[in-house]
Amino acid sequence: MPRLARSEWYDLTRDMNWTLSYVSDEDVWPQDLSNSYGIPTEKWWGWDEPYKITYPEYVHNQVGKDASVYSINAVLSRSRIFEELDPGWKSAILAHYGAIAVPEYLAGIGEARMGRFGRAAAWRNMATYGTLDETRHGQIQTYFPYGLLAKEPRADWAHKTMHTNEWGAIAARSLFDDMFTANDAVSTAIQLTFTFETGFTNLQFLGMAADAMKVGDVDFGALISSIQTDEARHSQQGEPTVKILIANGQGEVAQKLVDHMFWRSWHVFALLTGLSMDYYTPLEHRTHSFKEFMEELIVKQFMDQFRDFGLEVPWYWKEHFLPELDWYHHALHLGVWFWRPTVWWNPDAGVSPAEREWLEEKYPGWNDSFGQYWDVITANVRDGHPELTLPETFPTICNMCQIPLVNPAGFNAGRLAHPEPLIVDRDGRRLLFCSEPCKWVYEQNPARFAGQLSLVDRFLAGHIQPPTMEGALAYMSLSLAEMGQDATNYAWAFEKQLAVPGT
Amino acid sequence: MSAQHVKLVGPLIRGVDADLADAVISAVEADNPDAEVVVEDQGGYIRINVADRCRLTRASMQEALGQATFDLSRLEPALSGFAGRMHTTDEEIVWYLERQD
Ligand SMILES: [Fe+2]
Ligand SMILES: [Fe+2]
Ligand SMILES: [Zn+2]
Repeated sequence: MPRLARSEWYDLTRDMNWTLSYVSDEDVWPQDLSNSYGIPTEKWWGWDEPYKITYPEYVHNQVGKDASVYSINAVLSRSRIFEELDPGWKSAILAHYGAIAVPEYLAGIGEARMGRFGRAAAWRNMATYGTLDETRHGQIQTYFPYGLLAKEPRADWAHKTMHTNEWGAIAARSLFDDMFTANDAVSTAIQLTFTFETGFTNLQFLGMAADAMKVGDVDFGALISSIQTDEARHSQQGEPTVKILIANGQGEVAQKLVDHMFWRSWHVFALLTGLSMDYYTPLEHRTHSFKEFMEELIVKQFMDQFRDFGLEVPWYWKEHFLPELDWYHHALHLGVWFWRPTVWWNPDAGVSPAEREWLEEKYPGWNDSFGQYWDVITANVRDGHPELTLPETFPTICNMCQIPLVNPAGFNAGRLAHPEPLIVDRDGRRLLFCSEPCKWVYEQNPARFAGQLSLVDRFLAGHIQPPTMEGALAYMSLSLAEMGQDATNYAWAFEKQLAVPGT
Repeated sequence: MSAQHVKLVGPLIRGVDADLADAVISAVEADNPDAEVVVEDQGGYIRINVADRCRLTRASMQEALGQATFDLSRLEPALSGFAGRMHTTDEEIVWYLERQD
């Protein structure tokens, strides 16, 4: 029997849209779960995914992907590769698993919502694959660290992090809840699949895969690059959704949804990917700087694609976003290293003389700005006073991105006009923001964010008892054995500058 | 965007699938005879891009792999990303960007 070409039956099996007669559209697609932005039902039926796949093809491919990645894991988990990895790299993968593994399951909730409340049958079909994809990502990224438990007990933060009130977990949860766990289907397609998956997941899953292969962590590199093959497909739910919004006069809505989620994603990924690439990855294995990966995968690749629909770069692009590429993650790195007992991985200072030279080359001016803080820290460590490099007080936290404010470091580096946060008094509450875009996101939809308490808000409201640093660490579920320490026990502080020949 | 801004489009193949990446490079070269094919091996992924429009046909993949059949859907396990927009048919995948500025 001759086999039919896919194109001969694809549309027929996919396009099961019909006009409802027993119930109203609002009953089936409530606005809260699927915001139509006023576009009539039949207009959504033109939704056509650019990346096509059938169920038999899907199943066939996914079995092969899992077979390949799990077999690499089965071999390598019996080797000594993990023990021999650089301590900074281990920190990068512990941070990754904690921030990403369980949110993959949460992304499955967002995909499942589109699978039910997407406004076209073709879309619901793609989102069903997306739901299966994200389940795979949750399972595989909890399974791999599970295999590391005997070697690294904190690998259990792959599962634990999102169930805690650790500050990074609060920031990540705030982002992901806004983006997909608590978002309607149409906005999810724009914010999760179009903005986040087409843009930022490439940074963490491809950029880090590039570094992983250089480091020799084939296990992790094969894992995350395989995950990204699913993302490359299901992220394509964004394009047809954007097209329908634009064709029906809702381009501004699409632009605003992107502007909102691009900024929020940028801040959390500056924290996760920025530190991993520029400080935790061993120097000799760094392929590019974080800024170079941002330029390749976001500023160029993502923006070219994004502008192709007639959308424009976000309003804060030149004034706020591009300048932050030079300083924001460096300031975050200082803060995370200083408050290292509050994270579940061991921050690697990454500022040995050779590393500082690399930082200066990639970020001209680094030595005169951020280097000066590290000079003081290095002196304290060398003088036998590491306790002076540890925190006794709390930082201030942004009421939008939930990330500690690092504005003074940005100001001292000559990148910000003033060191103070932006203050907004609203409904009897004082809100602090790290940046104009964070404030803008909040003010676009204050009711959505009103109930969100930052860690400092919780402290002031008496949720954290006793109200001390110890109480806060317990509130964040960090026991003494789990708290971050310097990744190399301060080895970097004692490395000598290479002697200049002839002197 | 500036006039010199070249918009590269095309696949990013997983580094662990280097054999398939070699076939994709040959196929892209055959399918885009007038274009310069940019290949950047980043270890974890291999960028195989062409300015503005990149074709990849089933026929060229079969030729490059020396296989009688190769459904383009079989590319997915190695296709960790791509630049540009995508259009798929039974016989070819086209990555493209249209905007002129
Ligand atoms: Fe995922
Ligand atoms: Fe995803
Ligand atoms: Zn903020």
